[in-house]
Amino acid sequence: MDYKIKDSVDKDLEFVLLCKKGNVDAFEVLVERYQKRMLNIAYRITDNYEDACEVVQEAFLSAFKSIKKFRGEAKFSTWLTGITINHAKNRSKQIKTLYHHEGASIDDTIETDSGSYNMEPQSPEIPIVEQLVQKEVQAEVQKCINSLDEEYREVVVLRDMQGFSYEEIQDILKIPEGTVKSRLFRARDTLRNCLKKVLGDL
Amino acid sequence: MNRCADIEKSLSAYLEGDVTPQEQKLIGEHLATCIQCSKTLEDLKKTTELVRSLEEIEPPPWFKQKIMARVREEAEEKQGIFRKLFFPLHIKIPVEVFATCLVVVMAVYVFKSTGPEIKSFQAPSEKAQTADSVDQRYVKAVPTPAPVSKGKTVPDERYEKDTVEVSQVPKVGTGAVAPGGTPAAPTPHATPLPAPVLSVPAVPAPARAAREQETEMKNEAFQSAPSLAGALEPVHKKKGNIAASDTGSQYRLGRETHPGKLQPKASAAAKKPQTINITVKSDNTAFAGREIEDILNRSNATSIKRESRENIEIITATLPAQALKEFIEKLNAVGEVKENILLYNIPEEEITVRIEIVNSW
Repeated sequence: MDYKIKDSVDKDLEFVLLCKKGNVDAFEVLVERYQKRMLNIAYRITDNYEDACEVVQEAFLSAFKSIKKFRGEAKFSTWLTGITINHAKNRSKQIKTLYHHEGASIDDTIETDSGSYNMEPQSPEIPIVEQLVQKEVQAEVQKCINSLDEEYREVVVLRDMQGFSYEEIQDILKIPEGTVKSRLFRARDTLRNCLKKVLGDL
Repeated sequence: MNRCADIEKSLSAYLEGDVTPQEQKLIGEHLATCIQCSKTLEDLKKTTELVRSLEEIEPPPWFKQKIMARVREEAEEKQGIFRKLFFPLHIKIPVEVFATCLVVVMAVYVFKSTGPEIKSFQAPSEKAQTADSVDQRYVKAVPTPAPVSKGKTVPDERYEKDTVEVSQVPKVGTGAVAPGGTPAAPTPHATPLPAPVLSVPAVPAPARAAREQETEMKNEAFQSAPSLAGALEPVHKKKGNIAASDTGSQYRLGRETHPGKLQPKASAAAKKPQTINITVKSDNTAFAGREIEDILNRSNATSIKRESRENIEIITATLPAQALKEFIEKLNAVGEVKENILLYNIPEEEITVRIEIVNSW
């Protein structure tokens, strides 16, 4: 899960320079390299597989269109991630306004394969963690992440899921490092509370 | 409890090691004694672990191909606008061929469109002169009726004919030969007119043959001039064989025959001497004629011919180009001189001068 792609800067740059000259094949290499990572980021933000796919396609397309504007001050991966996150956020907004969709609340009834149940804290005597298969736990985690406000969610996704450094997150989201940290810590506390509610004993 | 709430808030930072050493010590000490806070720290660690353990999702099949299809579409569009025209490898050659053709066509067009202008630029002195002479003759023709003693119908007729003829002049392609010669001819007929002949255009670069023939013709005309003074009939008879029915026909004949016959020689003619018509006004034409003959002799002129008539003296001579300017200056001493050539425009070594001395009253 930890995607630390170190030393990939130079490799990216080589292809980025080719892309700037209009080499589409060089761009294909970058797509190959980053499609999965971008899809995962988009998926954790939009919480919808189809939307995430659409977001990633659009993100790569805008990246290709504006690759000449990419000056290499930041790494290509962070630049691309920033584009993907913007597209993902826009997509979430569109969906919210289109379907009056509201972020999942911890009080919402949750639909699972084994039926629906309430998100009320379970009694400690019956640890749900044991009852749920791994997949279901993950679904709960995702739901808790979705319950976070966008600015907290993106920090958690970038830091805890994608393993970006504070500096990289600062570049991607264009916010100061202090803000990155404070958001991250608050997001984790919220998540802890949420998961404790959902899963009982962690 | 209050203390625990504070500690809880800092636990996340504590976990990341993002606290000051004092805070770290404080939190460490508290955690050692507070079970609840230790539990919270454990939960926090597990939360992060759970988040990290979230399974990666896999892209759908052909995801890269889908992305690239859109990217290539975009790239094609871009090429459609600029690159296809300027850099594209595939259609580079057609564009260049087209550009080359365009340049060639433009060059031909520009050359053709400027060509006539160049021609007309060389010609205007003749045309302008022709036009001048028309005007002058027109002006001349108006006062004629009163002073003319013989052939009263002549002026009107001439006026008409000349106007018509001259209007045709620009249409004649070989204007270089004919128009110059044509207006020169009227002068003999103008002889009876009291109004002085103001100017006679020069013949620019005619063929030698043309000049000779012209001279012949003029001589003929001059010879016929006295009879013209009596009546127009003799002239008509004389010219009858050339289908000339009036005085104007002479000039027309001159213009029409010369170009036809002499056009082939025209190119060779460029180097041949040209005829310059000079008009000198004097009180005593006979005396002035002698004077000018004298000057011509002194200016190394050759083939001097002199014709004396009532009120007019005509002298033709050939003289070296260098002597021309001096000669004209000397002429000024004899009488008022009008010449219609530009002195700096004479390339020939020898020039034929035709001087008319007319009465100045």
